[in-house]
Amino acid sequence: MTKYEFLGDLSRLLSDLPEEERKQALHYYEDYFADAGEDKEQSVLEELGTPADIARQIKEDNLETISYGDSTHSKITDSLQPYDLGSQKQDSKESRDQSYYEQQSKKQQYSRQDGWTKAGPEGQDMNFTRGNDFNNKNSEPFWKNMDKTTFIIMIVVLILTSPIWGSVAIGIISMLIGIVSAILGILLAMILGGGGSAIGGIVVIIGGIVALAAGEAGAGLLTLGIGCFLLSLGAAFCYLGIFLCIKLFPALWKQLQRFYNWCRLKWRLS
Amino acid sequence: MIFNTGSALLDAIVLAVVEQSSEGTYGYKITHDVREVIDVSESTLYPVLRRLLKDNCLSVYDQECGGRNRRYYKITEQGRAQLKLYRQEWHSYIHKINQLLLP
Repeated sequence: MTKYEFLGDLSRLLSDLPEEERKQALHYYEDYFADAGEDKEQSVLEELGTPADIARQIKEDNLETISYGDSTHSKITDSLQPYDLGSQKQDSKESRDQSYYEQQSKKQQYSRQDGWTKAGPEGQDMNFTRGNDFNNKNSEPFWKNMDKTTFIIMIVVLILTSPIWGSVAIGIISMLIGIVSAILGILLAMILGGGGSAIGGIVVIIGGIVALAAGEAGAGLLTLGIGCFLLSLGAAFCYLGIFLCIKLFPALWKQLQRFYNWCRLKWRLS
Repeated sequence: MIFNTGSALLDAIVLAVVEQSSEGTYGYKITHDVREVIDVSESTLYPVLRRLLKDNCLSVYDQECGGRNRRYYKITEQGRAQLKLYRQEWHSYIHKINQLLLP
């Protein structure tokens, strides 16, 4: 990978962040490569890890600051209430507007926890793989974040494009029905055909025995043989068919139930 | 290095490193200086810097350098206050542990 590939991947991966965030991150890493020097490019690439990891870290951190979830810092702002924040604004080039003060007041609502003595996951990994706490936030079903208008738009789009996904859905369902029918048909054929063949075989055997008893040895033996053959083949297919039925149906039933539960789950979430 | 560095400690270290330069310092150098003290991956620093920036403990400015704009980080008054708090906490933390671990 080259520096440009890295930056390009990172840029793409961060495209769902606000433009400012993305630009800042890219600026930082462009600076980083430039300061390291061209000859160090490869070793920097190795040390930095994949763009995916970095993007993930940035997004996790982003989520964390927005949801005010990081309560393990003992923030100076909790204790220094009368601290004059106004004069600090001159230093910063970032626009510290209303949202900043809202953020500060919200932080007070969190119980202060001493960052030093907290045992748990905080002390685990300095590379900020913060485990499952943030996985949930990330993969929170997007249903939750949708407001009414977006939902309505989505419905309208679905209706408008229904010919497309409708026919595809019908095609898939028909195919499934076809496959299931075919399987059922084969099984039924095995059972019935095999059964019939077996019964026929028994009849033929009886006929063969009768022929033998009547003295026609050759014909009798031949008939007997055919009868045995029919019986065994028929019985085998019949048994195989029944066996497969017994095996498949519980599995099929379970799959159907699982599918049903999954559908209900997805439906309830929306 | 067996003792893990929590994010609060990392913040303190970064603030202390930035504080050392009155004119401010840049990402690569900060990473380099921090790595002299603790063993962190080079990619760990950006989220920390970003957070400190958001919390107004650091400020940034760009300076023309060799045909590009290099971004410098400076500690703010609030950052200094936060660092002071960290130093006090560290002192008491270390003291208690020393009493236990060191004979």
